[in-house]
Amino acid sequence: MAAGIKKRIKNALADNNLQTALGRLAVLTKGGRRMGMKGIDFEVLRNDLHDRKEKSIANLPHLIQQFKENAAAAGAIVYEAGDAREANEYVLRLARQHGVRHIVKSKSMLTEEIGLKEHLEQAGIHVVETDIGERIVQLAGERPAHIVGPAIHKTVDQIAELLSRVTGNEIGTGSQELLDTIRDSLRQSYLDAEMGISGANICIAETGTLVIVTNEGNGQIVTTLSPLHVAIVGMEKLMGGLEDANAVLHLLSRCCVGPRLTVYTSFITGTGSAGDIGGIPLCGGQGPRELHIVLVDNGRSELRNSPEFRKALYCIKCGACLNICPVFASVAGQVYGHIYQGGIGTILTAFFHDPQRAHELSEMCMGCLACRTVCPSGIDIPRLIRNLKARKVRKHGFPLLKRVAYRGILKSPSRTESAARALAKLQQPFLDADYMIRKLPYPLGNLTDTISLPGINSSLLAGRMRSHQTPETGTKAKVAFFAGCVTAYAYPDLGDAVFKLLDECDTAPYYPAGQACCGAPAYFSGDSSTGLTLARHNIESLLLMEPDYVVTVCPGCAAMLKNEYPLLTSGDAALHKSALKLGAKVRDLSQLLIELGSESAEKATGGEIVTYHDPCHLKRGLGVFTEPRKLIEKAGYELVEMNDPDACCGFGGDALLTHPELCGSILKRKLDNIEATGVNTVVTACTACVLQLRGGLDRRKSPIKVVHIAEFLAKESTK
Amino acid sequence: MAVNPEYIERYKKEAARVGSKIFVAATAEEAVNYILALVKEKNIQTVVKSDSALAAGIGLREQLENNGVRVIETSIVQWIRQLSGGREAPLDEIAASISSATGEKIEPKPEAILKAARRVLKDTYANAGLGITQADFGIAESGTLVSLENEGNARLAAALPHIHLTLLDGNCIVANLAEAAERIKNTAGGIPGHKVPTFITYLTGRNTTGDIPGALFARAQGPEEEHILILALQ
Ligand code: SF4
Repeated sequence: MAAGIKKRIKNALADNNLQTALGRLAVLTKGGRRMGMKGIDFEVLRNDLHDRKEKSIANLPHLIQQFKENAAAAGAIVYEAGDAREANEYVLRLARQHGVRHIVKSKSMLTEEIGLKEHLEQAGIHVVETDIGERIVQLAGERPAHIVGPAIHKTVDQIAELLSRVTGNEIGTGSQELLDTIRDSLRQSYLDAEMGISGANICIAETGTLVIVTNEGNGQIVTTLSPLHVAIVGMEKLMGGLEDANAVLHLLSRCCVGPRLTVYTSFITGTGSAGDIGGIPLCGGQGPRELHIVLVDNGRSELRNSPEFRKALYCIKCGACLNICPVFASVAGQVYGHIYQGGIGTILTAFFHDPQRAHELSEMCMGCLACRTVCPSGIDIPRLIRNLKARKVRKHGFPLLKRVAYRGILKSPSRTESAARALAKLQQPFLDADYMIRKLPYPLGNLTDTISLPGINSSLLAGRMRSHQTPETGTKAKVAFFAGCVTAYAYPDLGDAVFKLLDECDTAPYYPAGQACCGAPAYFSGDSSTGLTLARHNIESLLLMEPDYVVTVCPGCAAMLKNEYPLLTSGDAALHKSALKLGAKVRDLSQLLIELGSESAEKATGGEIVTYHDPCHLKRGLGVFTEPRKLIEKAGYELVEMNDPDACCGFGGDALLTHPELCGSILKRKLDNIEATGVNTVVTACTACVLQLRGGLDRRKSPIKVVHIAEFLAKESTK
Repeated sequence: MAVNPEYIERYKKEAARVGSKIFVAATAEEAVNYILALVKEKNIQTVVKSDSALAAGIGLREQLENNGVRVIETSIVQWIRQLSGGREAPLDEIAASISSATGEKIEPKPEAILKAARRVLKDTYANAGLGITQADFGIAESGTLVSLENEGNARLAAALPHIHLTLLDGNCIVANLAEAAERIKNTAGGIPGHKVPTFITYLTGRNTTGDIPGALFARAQGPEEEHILILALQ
């Protein structure tokens, strides 16, 4: 097995070539996405695709039958392979029967998955990858780094060096020259090949048709020029008719790199014919004499039978989720160590390859939700990752540290508070004069590797709020304040700010007694039972005094209360009903202030320029991103947008503990973007983001202040 | 299909956007001149072409040949016909002409003839300066060319030569993918057992690759240029 995951991450982060090459990804994909989304209603198209995929996967056995019949009637030979070995052996047998020595191959992740190339090469058959990126990777003896851009991790210099080495000629670093060199060498391979291997993007059951898309043109050549065409297809690619194929085509290229359609979209149905001469039929045309379609299962049935993960089969391999993934942008695909990369790759790895490794990969996820918003098939990838973690906990339990932290402490509010008090004392030796912790000892040193931490505030929020546990009686709207852990223990002043702002809106804020951690840290680590205990607890405490609203300053908590509690409680009808009731009352502070038509923000003078960082769970979890901006501007400030304001700050749940260096790299991009704006203040609306950004800027000794919007507005209103 | 000038306009815009060179010819003469000029500019000696009623209609082959360009038909039936001096010949005569053209002894059997034709044509495509094919229809919303065939020669003539030119009847443009699917469904497969033709290709713009930094818009593995000649004959 390759080096351990931590080592691989470290190497990737230290690899300057890789980091340079990756810089290109962002530019390429950002422009591409903008272009791709132009003129379409993405939500409509993606709902349509999601529904069609859902239906196809539900109907899979029937579609397979139908496809087999129609493909066979058109002259194709369909073979169903249960696993990698069966698929590989079938192709090798076929190659031997036909005396094949040279094979050309177009891009197919599935062939990588099953190790087909290696299998054939071991038998002495020469296999040439014909996608230019794949060819580069093949010559370099590596694996694809991205499902769509296999060589995205390479710089021009590296490619030139590689080609010079392989060809024995000095090849310059001009892009066109590099391309020409590869193209010319491939041309001969096409002519020599006795077999062409391809994948397929879609299989149409109604007509027995393969749909294959490529941009380079190699797919056309591979599937036509060789006398034998073998298409290796995962069975999840089956769909009913041409309309279903259109739903995929509408989004595949747009989501991948931007254009409306890939350059070549090829529909292949059986084998062809050149007609007849003088009434005598020519039995064949100029395409392959035989078409073999290998339908591969290799874990797909198991995936289909796992309701928690089934949606992973809806993936059309567009790569959009990788393009937007902050982890991928830091380390690229090779770090994942198998074939499939990123969040969706983690799930696929679990079923097609190695569950153990997949669990390891799941810890890299920041939970930023970016992938979910761009996926054309409507796959909630972060949820699948959470389910994977939960499955691991169910099967193997928790490591000791987490067990103590989540089940021993977090699960009980009183114990959490005692722990905080104890820590407030224990932290003393490490606390600097400004209440920041800059260096923790082993085994916690990790935590302060890339950021400085806030000290635990000795005056905990719950104590301060003791006199505000009931709302003022009268007609004012009752607003329950749910603080969340970071506010409660690190930033209790925020509580005062919230009360002030809510008072000014003429509401009756209060701090419901007994509120506990929302449970998100445990739940998203896979600990559903702690999640459920805390959900039950919070639902009761928060609904007790029948508030009109429940307000938070941490969107992670808000999303947990609103979106996850109803799911968590689905096994208990009464509790579930309460969860829904609670969910309907939950608001982020900015959202509520706008909803109440906040008057707290009279136009102030001064007009300092500030920038705003979108917290992942506020923008993507709750759909709130205009409200904070409006409030900032209403308060008389000038807002300058940073580059990628909604990119994750790297405060990544589990990953913060397991892979702090990865979080540090994501944070670095965020801080660079903040600094590039030239502002003195960055406003955000999440306590965790505040912690992360402050910690990072402190490390940089930057004078830029990070302010939570609650404090920002409260301070403003006293002016 | 009715002429729809709006579709032509949209088509032109979208095809140009994705990097195709597009020309609308109002007369046969304009069409022929466009191709002759292209051939001259690129110094093209050999053209491979697939069956095309539009090309026949404007006398394209004769015009090219008159200008000293070698035109090779790529559908096997037409290729044989061309070898046989433009007429239908019996099997043994066909085998003999192929034998003398290739220097290899060919049996007068369909299978042997097919194999020989495949072998010869395979090399022909890649050596041709220009491939001329005819699209069955275009898709306005994406500037796409759609070609339906059973033989596979049109795809090769579109992919392997140095430059590719597609003839498109201005009357044959549909609005979008959904209409394209409808049209395809209403096209018989043409071979027993086929519900649709063997090869259907949607060609949208010019082949590209993002795999090499700095070369996003460079030619990848297909032709260097994609020309679309719309015949909107009056
Ligand atoms: S999970 Fe969604 S976004 Fe990611 S590759 Fe698959 S279809 Fe594309």
